[in-house]
Amino acid sequence: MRTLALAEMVGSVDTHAEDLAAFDQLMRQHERLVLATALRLLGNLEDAQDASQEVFLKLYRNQKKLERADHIPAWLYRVTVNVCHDVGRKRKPTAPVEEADAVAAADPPDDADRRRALMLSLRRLSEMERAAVVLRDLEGLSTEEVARALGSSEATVRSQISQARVKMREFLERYFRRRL
Amino acid sequence: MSDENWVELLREAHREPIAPAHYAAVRARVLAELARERTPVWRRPWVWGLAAAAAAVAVLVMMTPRPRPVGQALRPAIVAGATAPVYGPAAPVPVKAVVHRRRVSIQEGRPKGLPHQEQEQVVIKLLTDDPNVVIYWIGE
Repeated sequence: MRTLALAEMVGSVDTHAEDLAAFDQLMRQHERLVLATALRLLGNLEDAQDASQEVFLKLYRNQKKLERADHIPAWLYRVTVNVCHDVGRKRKPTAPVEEADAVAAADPPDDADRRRALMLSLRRLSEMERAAVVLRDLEGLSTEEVARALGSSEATVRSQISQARVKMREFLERYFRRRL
Repeated sequence: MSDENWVELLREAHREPIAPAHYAAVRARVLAELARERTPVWRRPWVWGLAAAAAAVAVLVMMTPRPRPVGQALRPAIVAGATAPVYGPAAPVPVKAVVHRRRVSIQEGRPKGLPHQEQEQVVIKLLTDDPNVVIYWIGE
C-alpha cells in the first residue's frame, strides 16, 4: 500500500500499522481542504463529514495513481466535488429562502448575519455554479485549476461564476431589503 | 454592499476554523473503515453469525421428514438376508506356458524331385490351474 506520494510526505511505511499512521498524517495535512470545501458545497456538517470520509477512503485506495505529493490537492478538489455531487443527490433538498426569512425575522443585521446570508445564498446556486464559486472565490484556485477540477473549460467556469454572482447578489438584496 | 465586499465577507466566513473534533471524527471513521477492510473475513463477527445460521438451517433441513409424492406406492420392505448373494468378478486363472520344439518332415503335396526339406514346428502348451483345460498353440 505504500506509494511514492505517501513515502515522500511521511517517510517509508512497511507494516499495516505504520501505513495507517502515515495515512493519518496525510489526512491531517489535507483535512481542512476536504472538509471545508465539502461543507460549503453541501451546506451542512454531517453531509460534509460523510463526503470527507468517502474522499479520504478514495485517496487511500488510489494512492498508487498519485505519483507526486503536489498532485494530491488538485486530485482532492476534483474528488471532493464529485463525491459532494453524489451525496447531494441522495439527500433531501432544502429551501434556503424560507430559512433566510426565518433568520431575517429573528436577528438584527450584523456581520454574522451577513455571513449567514452569504452561506444561504450559496445554496441558491446550481451545483456547478456553487463548485466554481467555492473553488475560485473561497479556496483561491485559479480559473484554470477550477476548470481542471470540474472537468470543464475556463470559459465555462467564468460564465458559471458570473451567473453565480448575479444570483447571489439578487438573493442578498432581497434578504437585506426584508431586514429594513 | 459591492461584489468585492461580499466576496471578501464570504471568504472570511469560509476561513472560520472548523472545530478540531469534526476533523478527528472524520479521521477516526476513515481509519476504522480501513482497519475493518483489512480484517480477515473469518475474524468478522457477522461471518460467524452467518455460519451458525447456515448450520442451523442445514440441521433443520436434514431433520425435517421429506413428504412422499402423491400417488407413489410404498416400496416393499427390505428383509435382511433375503437378498441374492452378490458375486464379484472371477479371479484370473494362472497360466503356465510350456514350449516344445520338434522337427517335422514336410513331404505331402511336394512335387517329386525336389530335395527333402525339414521345418521346425513350435508347439506351445498352456497349462491352467484347471486340469480339464489345456491350450495348445502350434506355430511354424
